[in-house]
Amino acid sequence: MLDVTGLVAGYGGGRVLDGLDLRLPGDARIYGLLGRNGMGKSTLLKTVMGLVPIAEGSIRLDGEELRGLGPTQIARRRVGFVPQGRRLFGALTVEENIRVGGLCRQGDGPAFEDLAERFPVLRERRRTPAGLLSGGEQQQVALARALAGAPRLLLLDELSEGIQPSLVSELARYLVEMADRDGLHIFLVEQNVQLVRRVADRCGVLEKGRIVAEYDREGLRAAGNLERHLAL
Amino acid sequence: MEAVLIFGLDTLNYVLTIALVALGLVIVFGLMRVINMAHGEFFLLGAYCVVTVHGLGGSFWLGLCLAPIAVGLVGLVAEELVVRFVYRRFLDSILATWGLSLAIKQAVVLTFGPGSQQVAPPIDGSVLILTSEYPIYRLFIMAMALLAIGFTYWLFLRTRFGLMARAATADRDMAAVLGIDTRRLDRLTFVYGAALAGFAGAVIAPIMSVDPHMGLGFLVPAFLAVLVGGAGHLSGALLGAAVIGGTDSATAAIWSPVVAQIVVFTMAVIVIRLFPGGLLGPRRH
Repeated sequence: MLDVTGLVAGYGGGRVLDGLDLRLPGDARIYGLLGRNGMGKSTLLKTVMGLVPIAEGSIRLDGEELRGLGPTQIARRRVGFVPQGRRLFGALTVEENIRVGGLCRQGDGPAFEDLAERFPVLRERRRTPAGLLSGGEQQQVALARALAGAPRLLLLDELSEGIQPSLVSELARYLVEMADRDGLHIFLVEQNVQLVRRVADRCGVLEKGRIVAEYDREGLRAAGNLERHLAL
Repeated sequence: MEAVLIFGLDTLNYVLTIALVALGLVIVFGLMRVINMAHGEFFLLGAYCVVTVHGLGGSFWLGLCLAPIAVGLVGLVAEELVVRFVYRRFLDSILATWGLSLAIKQAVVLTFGPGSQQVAPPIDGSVLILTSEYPIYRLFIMAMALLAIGFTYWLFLRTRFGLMARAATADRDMAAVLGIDTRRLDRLTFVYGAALAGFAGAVIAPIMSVDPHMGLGFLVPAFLAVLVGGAGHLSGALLGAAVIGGTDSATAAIWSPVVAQIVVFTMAVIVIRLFPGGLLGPRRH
């Protein structure tokens, strides 16, 4: 699905990602990426989305080279992105946010009512400006907005950030359901080890711009102390 | 009573014209963060489009229809050659569009000469309001301005294009990440802003003397209207135009146009000091 080879990228000539190699195989529906702050997790997702230019290396999506493409072109190859902080259009209503997500959809995709079945907040707060929603509600709208574009690969940056722990299991349920029901691949960047353990088929650990450890599903369950990768 | 009514209609006429010019400024600033100093020249070109068509023997109505198209095309060329290189570069955009405004103004001087030109109102006659006569063409200007403002609201609040533009105005990168072609959106929005100014210039040409400096006379109050109302949304331009145009007209009627200029600028400075984001902009906490 996604092949990243020798990736070097960063800001202002700096190398936040330093020769990163990563493979998201087609049979891994959910890939979790763990790492401390500043290791390059968000930069990796932004680079895949074309928001940060590639200095060296390549990113291939189902064999197609993404290097040199802008975010619009990459999104139109059915790559969805929920960035850190959700970045909903605060002045637009919930319904308008979802409509924006589906405006440039390539092919068929879910209608607002379909998404509202899965994310009840869409119906309850349909006409509310998205900026007025709680963190948990915004999380649902951000996910629904990304799904409205009918992505085949969905990049999620710290989705559990800022939502109460009791909602994390609900979030895990959403993710597994999305991967199973929509047949999409999810690339989940997280600091919440429990969430990654619960949902990921494969997991990598990012340190100083490189993958330093990888676990398959069994290895992930068996690994005793994944939290050490997040310790300072 | 009649004098007040006539004054009110004249003021409304002025306010609506400023609002049309200010709307174009707000749209371009909102999406591209460009302060378009050449916007007054797009207004000017609209008026000269009517003059040209009239000079070639065409009707005013043909000139009015062609003006937004012709000025929109000028906007397209200006966007492609100059403006797109200075998006979101605040000071650079002011310098670049100022240069563009000088170039357009000098091109007009070279083509039409420095003197003023007149366009006869296409609709003669007046209507009786109480016991005073009021020119029908001035009522027509108001109707056209309201139509253009209404169309702009419809375009930005009710269409797919408008939804994309509002999303890109709020968060440009996020809009691109959702597949919106922000480059194309920039181009279309700039062209629409230019066309709107061109239409305003064309429709008002018959009641003004058309000369190479007429754009500045509307650009300055339109800028003040945007600053006073708030640069972030369409309604800010309308409120700002009402405040600036209303104050200008009232003060000019009571004292003189010179005092009116002083009062308007002083009021704008006070409003901006108290409400840095404009009357409808975000509040400081």
